[in-house]
Amino acid sequence: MSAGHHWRRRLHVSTVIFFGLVMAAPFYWMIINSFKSSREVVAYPPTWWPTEWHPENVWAALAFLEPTAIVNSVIFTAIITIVQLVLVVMTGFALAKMQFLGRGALLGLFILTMFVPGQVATIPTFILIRNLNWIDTFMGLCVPIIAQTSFGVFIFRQFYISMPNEILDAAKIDGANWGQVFTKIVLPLSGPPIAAYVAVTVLTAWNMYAWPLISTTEKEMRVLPLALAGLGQSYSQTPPNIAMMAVLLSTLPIIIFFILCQRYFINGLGGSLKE
Amino acid sequence: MSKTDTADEAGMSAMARPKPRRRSSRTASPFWAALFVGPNVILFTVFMVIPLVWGLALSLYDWNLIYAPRFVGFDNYLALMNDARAVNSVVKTVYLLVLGVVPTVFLSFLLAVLINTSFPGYSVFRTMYLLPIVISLVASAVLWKFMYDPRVGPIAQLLSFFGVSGPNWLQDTTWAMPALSLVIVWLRLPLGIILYLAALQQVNPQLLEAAEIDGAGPWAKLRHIIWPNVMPVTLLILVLTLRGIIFDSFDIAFVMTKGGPLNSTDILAVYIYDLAFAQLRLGYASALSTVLFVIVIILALIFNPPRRRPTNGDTV
Repeated sequence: MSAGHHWRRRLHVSTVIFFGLVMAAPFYWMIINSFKSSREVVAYPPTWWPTEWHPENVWAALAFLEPTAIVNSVIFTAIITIVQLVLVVMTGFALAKMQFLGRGALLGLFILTMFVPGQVATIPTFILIRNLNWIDTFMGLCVPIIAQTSFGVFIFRQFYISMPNEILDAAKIDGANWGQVFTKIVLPLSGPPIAAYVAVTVLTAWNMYAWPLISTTEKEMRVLPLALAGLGQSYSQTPPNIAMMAVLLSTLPIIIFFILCQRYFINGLGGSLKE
Repeated sequence: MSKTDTADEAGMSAMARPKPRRRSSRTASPFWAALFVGPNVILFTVFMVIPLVWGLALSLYDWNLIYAPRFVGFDNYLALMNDARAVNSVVKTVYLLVLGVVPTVFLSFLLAVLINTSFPGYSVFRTMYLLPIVISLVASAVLWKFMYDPRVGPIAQLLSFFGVSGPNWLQDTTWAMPALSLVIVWLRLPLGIILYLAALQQVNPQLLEAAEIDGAGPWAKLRHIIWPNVMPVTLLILVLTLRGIIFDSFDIAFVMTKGGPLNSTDILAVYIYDLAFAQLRLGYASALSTVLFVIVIILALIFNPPRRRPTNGDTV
């Protein structure tokens, strides 16, 4: 009996490890190939471990990605995350705890638009940005993405609705206004959902492709995914080892970020369960 | 700010109603309400609501950004029905949804059940399951293009090890779409696993013990206890995956195949992009966007009919 149990336990653990390795296999392939020489990476049959390591591929990949694309991606991600966070926290709080005319209608509007695919609004948004002369500017790049607040508003409203009213009422009776209640009482209690929201938004913004593709034309305005996409084209002259290194370098910040904040990611995504 | 009791949550009956709690007045003056929601409402209206309505209107016009827009009524929609590429793109979109959603739901369920355990070093392997969540669609498209390489790619190499000569995945009209959907499933599994792991924590262990005493094997427990108990999450994952694939498939398809070979991966998002931003047929592209919008609404209604949710506000 005990022996059978042990055997089953071992089989279970081995299966967990096996499928974990399968899920991670593309990352393994990316890493080993990004260190191969240009000759080895296209050699047949492919090698499963580099015969020699070429860390200098990093410089070639960085030259390909261009510092401007990296800087643009950092600015793009930072602006979107910070501004959108401020907007959704305040709106989510107001919809959960403040009473004002039109609150129900406003909430309904945010929920309705939550499942509308962005593509439906892309064409008119492009025309709008073009008429504002915002093509190839950070305004044009960021503002329409920041405006996609429905999901965040919903998440924060759900969080604040479960916050006890008594805390707020006590402060209000003591004469605090809404601004003081919000900054002194509400915000200090909002750490976990804010961390989760930041984690998910950083990830989304860093990886965004379609809108930057549409709203920018100049090379100086490119973000990382646009630079990377060129590597996928059949006319790409970049050897696969440099391409893999470029993919690795562009993903590395997020991988590190993920491993450090895994808890927040899981909370943030598990948070959609609260729907 | 008055201190009288008002009908708290009066407008919210259809939404969440958490535990009954003491009602209190939190009526906000217009100043504070405007300060808290105003900026967001303005931005949201200008860059989300107006474009959505405008898009619907635009689908009734013929416009190429150069000449003045010309009203054509429903001509764009009539033209769509005779446009073989448009019909094909609708079919391909539905095909990709099926190929993407079904494996994502079942595999994430099975993998979540599998890794709902613990052993020394477990967290390292759990991270491996969740890792695809970090890689961007574009980066994974570039990476998988290399994985699918018929000569030096590891997939072809593994198949030849078993004596199978695989197709040239991305250049084969039969295999290109399944190849894309594999990438999408790989990318979307972590979210499903995270949500299922959270749901599995909520399954009552006494139910499982009772079943075990009644002689239920692992399969019976999986099929008759766990699966029905996580049904609400399955529906949620279904909706999120459908939404995710419709939102994200453009990046994958555009980078990996550009809709080819021979339009075999020419999904709606790719065709709409081509119409709007390469051919500048903005009205016609908007009409096709509206078709996509209608498909999303139909799917949303099928899988998520409007209803009261007793679990609202709590983790499922």
